[in-house]
Amino acid sequence: MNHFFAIRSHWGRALAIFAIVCMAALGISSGFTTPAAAAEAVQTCNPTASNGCVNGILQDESQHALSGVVVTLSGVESAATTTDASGRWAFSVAKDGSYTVSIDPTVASAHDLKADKATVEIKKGDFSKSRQVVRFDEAQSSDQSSPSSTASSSSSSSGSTKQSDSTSTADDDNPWADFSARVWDQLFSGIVFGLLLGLMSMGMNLVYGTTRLSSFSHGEQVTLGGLMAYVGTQILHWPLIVSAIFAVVVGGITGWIQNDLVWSPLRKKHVGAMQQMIVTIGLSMTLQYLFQFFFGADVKGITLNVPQGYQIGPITTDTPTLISAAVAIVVIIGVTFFLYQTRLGRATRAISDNSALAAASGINVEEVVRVVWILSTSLAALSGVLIGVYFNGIQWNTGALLLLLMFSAVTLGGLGTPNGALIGSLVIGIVADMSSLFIPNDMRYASALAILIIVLLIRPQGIFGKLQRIG
Amino acid sequence: MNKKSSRKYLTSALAAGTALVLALSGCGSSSSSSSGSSKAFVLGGLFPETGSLAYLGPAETSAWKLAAKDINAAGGVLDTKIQTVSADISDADHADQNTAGAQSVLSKNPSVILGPASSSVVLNTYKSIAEAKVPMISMGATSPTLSGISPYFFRTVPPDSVQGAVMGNLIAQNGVQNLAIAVFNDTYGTNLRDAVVKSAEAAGVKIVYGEKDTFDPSETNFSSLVTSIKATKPDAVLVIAFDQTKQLLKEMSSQGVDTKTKLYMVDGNTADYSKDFEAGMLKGAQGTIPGAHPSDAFQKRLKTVTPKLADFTYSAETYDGVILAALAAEKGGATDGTTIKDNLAAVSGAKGGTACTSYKACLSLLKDKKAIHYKGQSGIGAFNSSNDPSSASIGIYQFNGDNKPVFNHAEEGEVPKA
Repeated sequence: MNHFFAIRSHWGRALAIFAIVCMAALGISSGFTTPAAAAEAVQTCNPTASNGCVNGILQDESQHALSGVVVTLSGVESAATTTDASGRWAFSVAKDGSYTVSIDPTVASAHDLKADKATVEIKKGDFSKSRQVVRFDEAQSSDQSSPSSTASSSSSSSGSTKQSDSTSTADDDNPWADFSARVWDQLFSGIVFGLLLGLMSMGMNLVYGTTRLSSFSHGEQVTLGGLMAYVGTQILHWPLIVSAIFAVVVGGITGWIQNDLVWSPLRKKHVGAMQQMIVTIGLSMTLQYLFQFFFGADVKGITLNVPQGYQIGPITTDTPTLISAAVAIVVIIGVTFFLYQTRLGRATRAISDNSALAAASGINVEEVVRVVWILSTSLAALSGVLIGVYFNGIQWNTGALLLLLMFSAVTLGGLGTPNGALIGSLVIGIVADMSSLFIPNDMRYASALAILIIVLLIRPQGIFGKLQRIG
Repeated sequence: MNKKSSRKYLTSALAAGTALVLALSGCGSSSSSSSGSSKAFVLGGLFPETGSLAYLGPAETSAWKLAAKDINAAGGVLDTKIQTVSADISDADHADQNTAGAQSVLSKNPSVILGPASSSVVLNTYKSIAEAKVPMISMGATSPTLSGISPYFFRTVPPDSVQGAVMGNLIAQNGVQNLAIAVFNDTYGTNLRDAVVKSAEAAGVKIVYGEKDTFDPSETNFSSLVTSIKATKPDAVLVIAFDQTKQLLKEMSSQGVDTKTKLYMVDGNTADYSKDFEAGMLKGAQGTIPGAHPSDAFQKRLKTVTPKLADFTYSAETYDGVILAALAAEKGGATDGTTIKDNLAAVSGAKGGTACTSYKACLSLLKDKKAIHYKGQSGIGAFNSSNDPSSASIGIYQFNGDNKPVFNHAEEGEVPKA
């Protein structure tokens, strides 16, 4: 079979060469009557005011270049060329008009090309028509009965080309294969994002639990962590781990300072939770503009190198992502241990349950709240570092963009319940990422927030929240 | 959601306050040594100093200052030194700052405003500027929908129908069979995407992702998007975005999508990434930027204004916009917006005239009552009836081992009339 084709294509090539010789002869003879600059075969062609281009690349379905194939140009001007090692060919033409490019039909059939001939319209100086690219591997299949059939000259024929493509390649484009290939990757990225979101909303939930304050500046604490890690790695040239510790320490110190300077005095003056919340909004804006002032508005990469991804079972991942997820899990377990197994942790939960009763039973509420603030901002800073690594960069408003998701996660899990934040975050992360299998990618957070509404309709206190007695 | 809107309100209030302070402080610093008579040509500028387009700011501002310097060196407009006023316009995600920036410049009664560069921001601001009868010349707004949007809107950059056609052919001639497009949901992004899709599909390229799908401009987590793109098994990816590109490309690279020879970018993100990625990450990737590549001589002159300037995108377009506006005022004999609007097409050579390449040369021709045709740095033709350049060139760039785009070649042609 192959042998047979080889012979046929050999004859075909000979015929084609003969045809070219004839055309060239015709070109020469007509050259005396019309003194025009003829089309010429060139290495690469770029359209200018004085020439147009007909060019392309000859390759088969699997993108293997077909070199040494004769490509013939006819029409207003004629020329012939041979494809180079990468399958490229180009003609520079001088006149506007209709050109037909063809290759040997036997080559086309031997390599399963969809066409061996295409007619294009060249108009110099017009961006959409000064260069015409002809691709036999993708063009409409040649129709022997109507030699004027065009492959790529009008939009209507390209529309039909597309249709025939989609039917002819339907066998290897099984939508279910595509779906199952993505399911595990989407689930995995949803879990990783959920864990990181859980880490950052945990601190916010602790502050809410002990002081009934919804902190709008928690997002900026996250950004601060990421930006401090950037300062460490890119400005001070420290290793990432040292920078991460630096970021967490800076985060913790800001929590301590703001508790002692702002929140503690406000609590002593019995300023309501609503008013304090407005203060956090002001703080959030101030911090955002300060970040922008000092760091600029562009994305800051904490690391310059790009991790090389690899395949673990059905998922593609990379080392920094796995380390980020592992750190998040370890820290979340550690904080849970602290809350349930240590004296201070139990005191924190006692204050969450009933602050007045806890104070009456001898717990130093102010001291515990200070620790909670330091813990909360340190966790935020750590999650900022991890999110900066996982998202491949941090900018002045990254935290602010995540803030509403944090609130949703906390509300979903149950306001003030330590583990509610984690479960809520995982639900939000997984639902958001998995939903992009069904709905457009830029709408995926909407589905997570739809879950929030449904859960709150069924369980108004959130998944883990306790029903509050009203009145 | 209530909380969010109240926060937005507060943000805009703060922004307006800041703008007011800036405008007031501007009064003190920007008024030049001239007498300040009402006839002086006031050159306005709206540049992105913050937001996702902030990287374009330095090149635009430097070109704008250089043009003002050149005009004053040649004696100013109508023999009076010109004054300048500018403000931060940010990006379309900060619509409050768009309005505040435009108002702060309009309050100084400018003769013309250069900018904004983003199509979405132009849409947010052109009405108030046109109502004040001030012509605006955008150096980077390439959305096809802006053609002829207002008699006061001009641009020195060709619309994206042109860039899209060049990009579509570039992709097709490199043998791409299945193309995925990562495009952000923005007027600029989706319009350019449509133009690329049209010309790439006509040449037989199949669009496997992104013909309808977009991503949110404020997206931070690109893992899901890249997974979707990867699942469609593209053999090349076109990225249409602004600063989001950095995170997206890193995610693509770590998930194993080729960011070298199989990557295409457009004017919004063909920039210097030498400080953002490891060397070699983008080697061989290609990008298109409308407009002529600024010549070495012009780049050197820009560096006299801003010595550390590294990115020159839209600098030539900004410079030409300023010079054209000053020439239009000179030709019309007045510095008000309407006069400049009426004469811009004429000085750009719409009715022919003697070609001249600098403000000084054009000025002396105008003083001799000759018709002129200013041929500037950006290589654009005269304004057509939609106030678009009638012809233009698109530069094709290839990234080198340091992740910097290097000029490869330009394709020239006429801009189709809207």
